[in-house]
Amino acid sequence: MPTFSLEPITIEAVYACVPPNRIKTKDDPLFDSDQGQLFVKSTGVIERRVADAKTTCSDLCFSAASLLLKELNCADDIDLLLFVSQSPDYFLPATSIVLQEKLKLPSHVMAFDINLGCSGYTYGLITAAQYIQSGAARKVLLLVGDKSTLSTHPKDRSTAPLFGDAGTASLISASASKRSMAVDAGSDGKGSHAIIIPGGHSRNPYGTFSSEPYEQEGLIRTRNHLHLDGLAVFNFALQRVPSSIARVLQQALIEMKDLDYVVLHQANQLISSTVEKKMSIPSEKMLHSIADFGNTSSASIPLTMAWNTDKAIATNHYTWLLCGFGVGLSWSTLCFSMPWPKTKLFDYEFLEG
Amino acid sequence: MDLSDFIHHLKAEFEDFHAVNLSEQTVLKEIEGWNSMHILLLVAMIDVKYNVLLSGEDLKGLGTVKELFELVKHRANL
Repeated sequence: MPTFSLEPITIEAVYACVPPNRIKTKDDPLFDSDQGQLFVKSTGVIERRVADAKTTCSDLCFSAASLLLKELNCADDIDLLLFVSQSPDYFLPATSIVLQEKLKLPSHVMAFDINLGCSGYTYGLITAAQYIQSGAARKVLLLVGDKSTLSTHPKDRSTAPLFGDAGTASLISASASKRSMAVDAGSDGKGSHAIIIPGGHSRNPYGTFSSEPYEQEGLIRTRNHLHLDGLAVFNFALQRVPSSIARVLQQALIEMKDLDYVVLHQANQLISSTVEKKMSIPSEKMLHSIADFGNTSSASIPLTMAWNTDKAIATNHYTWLLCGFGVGLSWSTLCFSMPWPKTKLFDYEFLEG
Repeated sequence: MDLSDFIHHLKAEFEDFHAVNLSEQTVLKEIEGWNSMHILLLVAMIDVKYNVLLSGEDLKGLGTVKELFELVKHRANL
């Protein structure tokens, strides 16, 4: 599994857009009082945002990107647009290219999609860093998000109350920092069934499975909806995340005490707190957003940065550790230094694109 | 590893959820309201306290607290 270094990047800005519709776990009809309390204790999800039927992940990312481009006046410097998501607008074409036109970016801009979920933001940063390092891109517009509530069956207690929707836009450029960016990344396809939507694409096209819900171990869903093996994912996270963090710290030649902020993918609170305890990460260094937004899949790391921006002192340089992990199974961990990005977090309103 | 400590940790984890009478003979699956969330809390506690990560396979035949303790003790000593 690769552990390596890249020339440093900086995240100049992180803009996050969430649907205005809030769902509180305590009001969820899937739970009685005790079950709801237990769900909150283990997942940490108190409230989440859910997009309406006509709003897509790309709409949320478009809103975030439009405001970012306008406020930073940087459209002419962008050479690469990446869209990282598992809820694209179409099977084809790539959503990134649809967004290039909607955002009125020029046709010399390269654009492609990356089909990753919870590990997607950090893989997006690795990709951006390599295009910048090669000289192919001056700035990269990294659009990351998911409309996971599209995939969850509303009666499935293991998924429906966990996920929230969000779209983000990050502006990435080269950094003058002397410290390189340490990277650790890997994949474990043996766990491909741990988080899966079995039906609806080439392996099992629509019509292969019944659209009638079935019950399995007390959970109700169809095979065209998300299936989540919570214990398998939990085991994966506790095996892979601490070791990946340890390797990336070794690669960066620093220790845990040298980190200022640790942002883990917001899978659930139990995974975050267990990693925190196992790795002896000081709790004040850990940033969270799961209580207010749920598991927002690929968007969770940038959303967490935007949500915790009150901790920032704009002029300071900080040492960050970012770790994305999940569906695939897949993970990537980065350690690098940069100031706190310019951030904005706002509710979605329909914009004419 | 001590059984009474193990039971103490379990009680602390599940104190909000009708586990006050938990003993070494308690069958975990028979605790009122026991579900997959309890299993995640259990696995997390055991991983943090004993550095033993139990899988779904390990927990398939989950019986009494004493049996679970013996499994964790065995794995911790490997």
